[in-house]
Amino acid sequence: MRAALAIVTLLLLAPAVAGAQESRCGELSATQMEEARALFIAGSAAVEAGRWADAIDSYERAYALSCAPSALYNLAMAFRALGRHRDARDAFDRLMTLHPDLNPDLRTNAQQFRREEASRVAVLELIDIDPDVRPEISFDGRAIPDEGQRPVLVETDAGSHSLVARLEAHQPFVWEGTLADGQRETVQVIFRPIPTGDDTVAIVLLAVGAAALIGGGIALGVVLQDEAQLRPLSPLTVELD
Amino acid sequence: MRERSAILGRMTSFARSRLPLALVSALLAGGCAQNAILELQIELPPAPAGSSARFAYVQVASPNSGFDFGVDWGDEGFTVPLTDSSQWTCVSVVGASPEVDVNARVRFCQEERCLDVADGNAPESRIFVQDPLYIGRRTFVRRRILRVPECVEDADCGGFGRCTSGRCGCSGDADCTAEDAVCLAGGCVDRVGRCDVEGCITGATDNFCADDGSHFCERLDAEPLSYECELSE
Repeated sequence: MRAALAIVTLLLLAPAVAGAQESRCGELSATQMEEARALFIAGSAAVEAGRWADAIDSYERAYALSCAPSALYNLAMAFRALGRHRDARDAFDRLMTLHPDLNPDLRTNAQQFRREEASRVAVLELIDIDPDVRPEISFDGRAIPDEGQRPVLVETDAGSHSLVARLEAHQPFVWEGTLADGQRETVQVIFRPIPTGDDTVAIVLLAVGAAALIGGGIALGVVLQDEAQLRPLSPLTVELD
Repeated sequence: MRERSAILGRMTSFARSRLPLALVSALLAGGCAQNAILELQIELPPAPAGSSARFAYVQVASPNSGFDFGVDWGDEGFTVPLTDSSQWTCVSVVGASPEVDVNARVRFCQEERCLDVADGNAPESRIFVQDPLYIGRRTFVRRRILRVPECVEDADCGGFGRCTSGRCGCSGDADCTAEDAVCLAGGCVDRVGRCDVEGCITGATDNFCADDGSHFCERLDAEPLSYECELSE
């Protein structure tokens, strides 16, 4: 926690320095500087109050205005505190790339935290996708661009996730599961052609299969009802009436 | 033959479109989460030097069931020994009804369950959370108690009341100057509004309500949030 709260306050919006030459910020007007400073202070207050989402928004806007490395550092720390390891790692990367003249102590901290955050990013490795096809891949509802690299790697944070891959004339491939911090999960993506034909046997099999699936689904649903309930994360649990 | 093809076509069409839906519906009918959980994370302050407070006694209940501040909550609670530094404690609040608020009180006592005579007037911190439960969703609230609410002067209360007889108390909202604090039953309450209850969205956001005022957890496409009980060291 101490580390998570170790936000930078002393470097309060030292304006975009030489190290930020590659950034989009030019010289700030007094109004812009004041606005960025207010956002920075609001972010720090949000951290003090434990309102991390507010802090993220404030720091993002402060950095967009000022390109001050302290704002980007604090943004990364807020992501880290929220368990958004991928965002935290990327923010630390931006910090060290866009601000080569970063204060040495800050850089050392950033490098250490960046390593820790990178090790916590979970990765879904999609194998056995033909390099010559471009399936439409959706992860937690977000489109994943497929540029032909195999295997397809999907980075995310710990938690429950779902993936759907679609290929024309094939049944969608669906994966659902839970990933832990730093877990690398390999998923074999298999596309099955949508069956065609007009055989009587197929009709019967389809009907029987449908009945079995529905019956099985109901039975499974009953069995799983208890399993489906949310589980408390803390051993200290209060059940409300 | 044409008729049979038509039947197969309809069956195949059913298999493609309705069968998965029926199966999922059947599964959902039996397998849906029917509870809701608020993961309440509270940072406890260090044991103050020279104070007799050695334990934090954490109680969580719903005002909808009569557990208002200022009344006896019984002896259901958790004890956390105070240490030389601040520490996080986490409580999972499980409910089956979406329309309840949650009260939390942390008493700072000499005896671990606040049963000592001297604990009758133990300093107390209070948190109110508005509408934190959504069926099938996990939500999060993190609050910090920066200091044990005992005092020598008003400034020791940190905006959570005025100093009276060594305790931080209030007689009106004007005494509670901390952000979001209100005065209830003689004590300042840290009030967490429904839009500050975290959950069900990823990405930066000012609050957790949509523009129409609905909480993101009320939306069908709500996203899960990852959670760490103890923020990283």
